[in-house]
This record gives sequence, structure tokens and C-alpha cells, in this order.
Amino acid sequence: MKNSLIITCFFIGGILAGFFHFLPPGWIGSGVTQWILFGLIFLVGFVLGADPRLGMLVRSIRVSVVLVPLAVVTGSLGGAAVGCLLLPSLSLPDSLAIGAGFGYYSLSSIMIGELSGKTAGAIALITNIFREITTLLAAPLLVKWFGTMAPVLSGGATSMDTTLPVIMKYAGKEYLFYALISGIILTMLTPLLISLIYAIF
Amino acid sequence: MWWIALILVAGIVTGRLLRSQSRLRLGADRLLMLFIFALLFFLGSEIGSDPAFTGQIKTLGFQGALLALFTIAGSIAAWKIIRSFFHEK
Repeated sequence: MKNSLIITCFFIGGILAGFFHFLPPGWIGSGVTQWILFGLIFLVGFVLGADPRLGMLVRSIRVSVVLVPLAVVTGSLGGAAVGCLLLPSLSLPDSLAIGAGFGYYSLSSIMIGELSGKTAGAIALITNIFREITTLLAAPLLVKWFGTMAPVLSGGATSMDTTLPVIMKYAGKEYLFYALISGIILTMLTPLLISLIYAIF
Repeated sequence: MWWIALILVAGIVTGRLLRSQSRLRLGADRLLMLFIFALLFFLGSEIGSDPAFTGQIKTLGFQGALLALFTIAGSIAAWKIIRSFFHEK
């Protein structure tokens, strides 16, 4: 929650800086961001690789565990495709890529902003922050209405870190394992699926 | 696409090899946050400097909220369907 607030502040700060022309003209829209993006993806990989839980993940993969991230992938992409029908201004690839953020707002918004355009990047940020915050705030309701797995599904990629505490609290400790595995798999899939979607369409 | 996959895999392998260096891991975690802050600031500044964009921030907020609810609902629905096939609890 704290991080998503800080990130929103940086984003809004950037909008204000751009709006009031606080930045030198050469800073905006340069190719530098693409190189920073490559660095960012490397770091995402590094942090995942160095995470001791990655070993546990590889040793413990069973069909039943992979079904949770599978549901998040198919459901998020399906949901985004349906949402796209209601939002004619949004193209199908943008909508799918935004859905493939799985709540991982920082990486997805930056990638989509770079691969597609800043409007889609901004919607990706809003959608995926909203997904995380909904999971954090509505976890008890999600459990009550849709069952104990619901906050893990809703949390998507964030279920390995930011939404893990609420999942533990409202779904129960036995869902910790599902949340970690699903979150780690989805975190790895986010950059791959987003770039795949734009490569196909 | 392949560049991104390649960079991601290179990162995972490097991280795995250096996983005993806990200070390095902590540093990478912090550097990652700095990168994210910087990039989102720049994404924001590109948006803010574009008059065509600043007029439609409300619309984008609505679109974002709608897509978030659809992706969450879709994930829960997909789980119910998959679970009925595999008889998961």
C-alpha cells in the first residue's frame, strides 16, 4: 500500500512537471527510457532469481498449483477482452496487455507506455494499481462472496509480496503457498506476455 | 519480445548465481524501486506535457477502474471453471 502511494505520487509529480514545463525539453520522449526499461527487466529477473523462494517453487510445482496462475492468466485476459468491448477507444492488444499486468502496475505501465503509447501506459498503471488496492481493501469481502482462493486470484502477481499479508489474514495460512507460487509465476509472465501480445498483434 | 525474454532470463540466472550475496540482493531491490520511480515520473511527465492527454484524465481513470474489475471478475470466473474440471477444493 505504501509503495503504491509513493509510486502514484511520482507519477502525479511527473504529470505536474510535464504540465508546467519544469523539465528541460530534451528529457521528455527520449530513447533513454527504453534502456532504463531493459535495466529494469534485468533487475526484476535478478531479484526473482536471488529470491530463495524460487528454489522452493521449482521443487514444488504440481499441476494443482499451476492451475491458480492459469486461472489468473485466462481470466484476466478474458476479462480485459470483454472490457475492451465496452471501451471502444481502447484497442484489443492494449486491453489484453493491460490485463496481462496482473496487478504488477510498475512494470506493466512502463512496458506498455514504451511498446504502445503513453495513454495505454497510463491506463495500465491505473488498472493495475486499482487491482492491487481492491485486493488489499476488499479481501474479506472477496473471501465471503467468492471463496477463500478469491484474494489470491484477485491479487495476481502481487500475491507474492504486497497482498500476501491480507491473503494470509483472510484466506488462511494454507493459502500462503498458492499465493507465493502464483505470484512468482505471474511476475515472470507479465513482461513475457506483454511483449508477446504486441508481437502477435 | 525475444530481447525482453533474454534480458529477464539473464537477470534470473545472474540473481540465482549471486543469491548468497544478501547485500547485493538488497541493493538490487532498492535500485529496482529507484528505476520504477524514475520511469513512472518520466511516463507522467510525457503525459502531463501533452495537452491532448491532460483533458481526458477522468476518462482514463474510469477505463482503468473498469478494466481492473473485469480482470478480477474474469480471474475468479476462470478459477471456478478450471476447478470444476479438476475437482480442486
